[in-house]
Amino acid sequence: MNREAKKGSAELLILALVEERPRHGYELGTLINRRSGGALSFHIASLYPTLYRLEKRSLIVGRWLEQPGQRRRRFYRITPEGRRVLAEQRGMWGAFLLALVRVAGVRAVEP
Amino acid sequence: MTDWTSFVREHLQHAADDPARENDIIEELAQHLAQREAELVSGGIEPEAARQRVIEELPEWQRLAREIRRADRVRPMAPPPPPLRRGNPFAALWRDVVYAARTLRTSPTYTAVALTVLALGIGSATAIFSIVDAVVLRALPYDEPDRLVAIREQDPKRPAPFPYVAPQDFLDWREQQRSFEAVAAARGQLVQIRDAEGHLRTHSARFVTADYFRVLRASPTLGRAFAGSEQTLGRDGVAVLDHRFWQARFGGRPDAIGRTLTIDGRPVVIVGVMPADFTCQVVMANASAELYLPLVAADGDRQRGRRPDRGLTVVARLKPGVTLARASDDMSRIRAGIEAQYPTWAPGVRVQVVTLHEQRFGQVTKWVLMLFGAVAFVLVIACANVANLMLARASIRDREIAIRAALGASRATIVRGLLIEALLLSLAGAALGALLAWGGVSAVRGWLPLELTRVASIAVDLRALAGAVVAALATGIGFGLVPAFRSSRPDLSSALTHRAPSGTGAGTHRLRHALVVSEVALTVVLLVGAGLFITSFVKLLRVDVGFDYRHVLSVLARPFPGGRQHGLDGTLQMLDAVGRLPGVEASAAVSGEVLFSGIRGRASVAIPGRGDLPDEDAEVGARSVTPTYHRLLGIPLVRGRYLTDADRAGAASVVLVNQTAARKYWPGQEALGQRLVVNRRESVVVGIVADVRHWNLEGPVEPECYLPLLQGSAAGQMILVRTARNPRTLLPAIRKAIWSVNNDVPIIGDQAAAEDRLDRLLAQRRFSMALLVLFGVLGLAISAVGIYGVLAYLVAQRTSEIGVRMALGATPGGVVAMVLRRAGALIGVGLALGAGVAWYFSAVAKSFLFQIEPTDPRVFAAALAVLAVAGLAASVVPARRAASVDPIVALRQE
Repeated sequence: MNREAKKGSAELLILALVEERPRHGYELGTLINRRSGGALSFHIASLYPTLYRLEKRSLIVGRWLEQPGQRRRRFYRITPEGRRVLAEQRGMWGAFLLALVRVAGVRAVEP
Repeated sequence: MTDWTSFVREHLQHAADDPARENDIIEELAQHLAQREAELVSGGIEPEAARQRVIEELPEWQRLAREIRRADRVRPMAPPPPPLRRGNPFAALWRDVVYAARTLRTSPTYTAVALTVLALGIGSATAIFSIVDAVVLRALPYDEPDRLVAIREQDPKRPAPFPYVAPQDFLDWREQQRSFEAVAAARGQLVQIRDAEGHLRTHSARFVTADYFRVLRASPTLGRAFAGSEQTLGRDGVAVLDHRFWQARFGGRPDAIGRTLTIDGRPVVIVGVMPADFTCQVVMANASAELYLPLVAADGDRQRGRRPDRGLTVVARLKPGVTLARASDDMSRIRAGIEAQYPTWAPGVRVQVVTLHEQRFGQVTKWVLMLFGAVAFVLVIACANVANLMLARASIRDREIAIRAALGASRATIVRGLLIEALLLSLAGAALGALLAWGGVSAVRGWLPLELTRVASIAVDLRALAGAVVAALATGIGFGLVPAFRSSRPDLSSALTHRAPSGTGAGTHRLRHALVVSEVALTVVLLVGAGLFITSFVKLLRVDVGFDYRHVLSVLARPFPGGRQHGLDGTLQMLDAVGRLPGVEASAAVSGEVLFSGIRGRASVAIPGRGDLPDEDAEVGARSVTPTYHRLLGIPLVRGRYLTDADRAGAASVVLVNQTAARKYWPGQEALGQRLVVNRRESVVVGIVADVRHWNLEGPVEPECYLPLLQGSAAGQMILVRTARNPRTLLPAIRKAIWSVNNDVPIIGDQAAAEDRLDRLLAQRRFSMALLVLFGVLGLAISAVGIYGVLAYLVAQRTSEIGVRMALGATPGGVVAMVLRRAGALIGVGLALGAGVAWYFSAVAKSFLFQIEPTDPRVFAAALAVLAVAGLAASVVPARRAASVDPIVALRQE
């Protein structure tokens, strides 16, 4: 997968997943990998910096959570600002996709 | 299970500056690895193999640390553009405004710097203009002020015109003139008035002729002005009070009319009170009047003797339709007639008719212009800086603009959005600037001495504010719109991939560099100006006045006319009484001068055997002193002897002269023993004393002579006292000592200490210097910010180039050198340009300066050095950032 496109969509992916419910880093990485059918995978080296970046921009908030019987883990949840950005990103990507479809004849294909 | 925490801690170095944050990160990453390991194990892999797998999947730690650090430095992204919807135009406008505000908030540094620069520029420009306008430029507060003129004389051989005129001339002018509807004269004088408790107080009065109030078209708010019949001796026992005096003395009660005051021993009836805004600072800047009395012509005022005794200022109002030129011709005609009739009466002197405003403020105009120039510089520097900031930001916004354009925003919409953002910023900056101006004006108003005319009316001038705001708006809008026009077709793909669009940017680069260079150049001029003024002031401070004025009090000891005159004996008794007070080191009496006040005595001189001296040599500064005078002031004796008690009435007439007089009248000869006729009395020169400056720090020293008080007829007017410590604390005791001899001597004012008066002489220079230094500092700060901005941007844009260099072996030191070289080039060109401009305009500055050439190399060198240091300091941070670029990361951005 083209590195630039992946980089551009990382935030969208993470925001969408934490919108469903709060998640921790490892869970996010696994989910992205699984749900995309292996097309997208985020290495530890790109996942956490992205998370920290999103947190710095107040789109997500991280909290340490103590679950029974386990060591504490850092969970991330979305903020109202994050929701707003997510909505706009979805809209933007949708329009972009539409443009690509119309102009370049792009089609969604199964690998 | 592996201890991943220690593992991560060992490998991950410097992920954050804050140790707590670093611990958090380590823990989170360790968690991740532990979960991965657990997942593999639960999938059936052997623990050892699972561990190996995890280790294989490990990232490059250094890169990870860097990414995390960079993530922590992230600034919030510009908010996405507002949805493009048609509808209520006001709602759309409001949306744009909100969006613009949010955009500005996401770049706090840019916004803060731009606001600060705008506020400083607008605030200082507005404040200075308002102050100067109120104090100087605005028309005088009289009816039809441009019809008011001052009539004065000019001797072509002297640099400055005489503002004062002799009564003989005034009377002739008034009789023979045809151009004015009214002509009047005024003379300031100190009078003694008994206060409510019976003590004598000194007040300043103005003696005015009948038409004075008619010329100014001012009438009393209470009572009446003088009647024509009251301008004759014997009927002139009337007075019109100034408003402030009326408030102070009579509490503003209307029953003051008809009351009597004892002025200089005679009764005077109050007939009127002037309104509060009436000022008598008509011709001279430091005139003041607490009351107005009729000016009565004395008997001798009609005859013309040898020389004009100048004491009157003359004002007039032009007849309707008469021009200044015609009035000048009219007066020249009269003057020609006088000269023909009295050829020895001030021959060669010409009469000038100038507007009152010119007479009053002519001297100050050049200072005003200089201040305005400096202020304009600061404003231009501020605007250049704001332009620079906006240009820098323009390139960062390419991506956002490109996306908006790709999503269908028309150019008009984009332009509108940018316009609103620029307007918002400029207006906010202008609002802050107005606030700053208001504060500055209020502060200055409280600080300036009240005697300065119209201080109370200083307020923020709306024209100035408007002008400055327009300048800022023009800059803001002009440069804020640049992003809209940077490329004709926004390149979406390259914008999204963060690559700089090809082909654009070069022009902007050069423009930014040009702006910084011009900022630096202007600042150089400001700093050179400030340096010159500081040097002038310091030199002025260092002028050796020639005597020791510290801890010296001058005290007025002249009884009012009509009071008991204590004469010479009385003066000597007073000296004795004062001299015996504890804390008093010495006392002396002098008549004819007040230290540092500009009041000085003059006498006519002639040298026996040399016939009549030319006019300019026939007058010297003169004062009558007691023998202790010179020693009290520490005036050194050059040759001969000081005055002694033996030099009294009946003994040979003697005189002391200063070095300038000795050199002037007996060049190349020995002045001691020569004879000098002072005020028609022949004396022998028995001593030569050193030159002193007791009223003027800047001009050349005049020839002066000292006559023995004991040989004259005048009682000492002023008593000088040298005290061991702060002289003001001894004032009450000194007053008592003086009153013990004569009660009819008025209460002494509080400007008695010589140091205070010297301060006032220096006040204007100090004020100008302070302002210029302020502007220099402002300009310096703003320029430094500009340099920093350009360099920081440069480094950010050239990251990949720097990365390549470092990958190819350039050291961090080499990169720093490259940045500093670039900075040096910018600063250097600016310095050269600025120095050139300052040099070019140096001739203009000459008249402001004191004992320093406007092209003094030391001042130039200092200004250039200061700016160079500031510029290099501003380059340090960008240079260090350049040095810390990681070549691999930089290259990866390609």
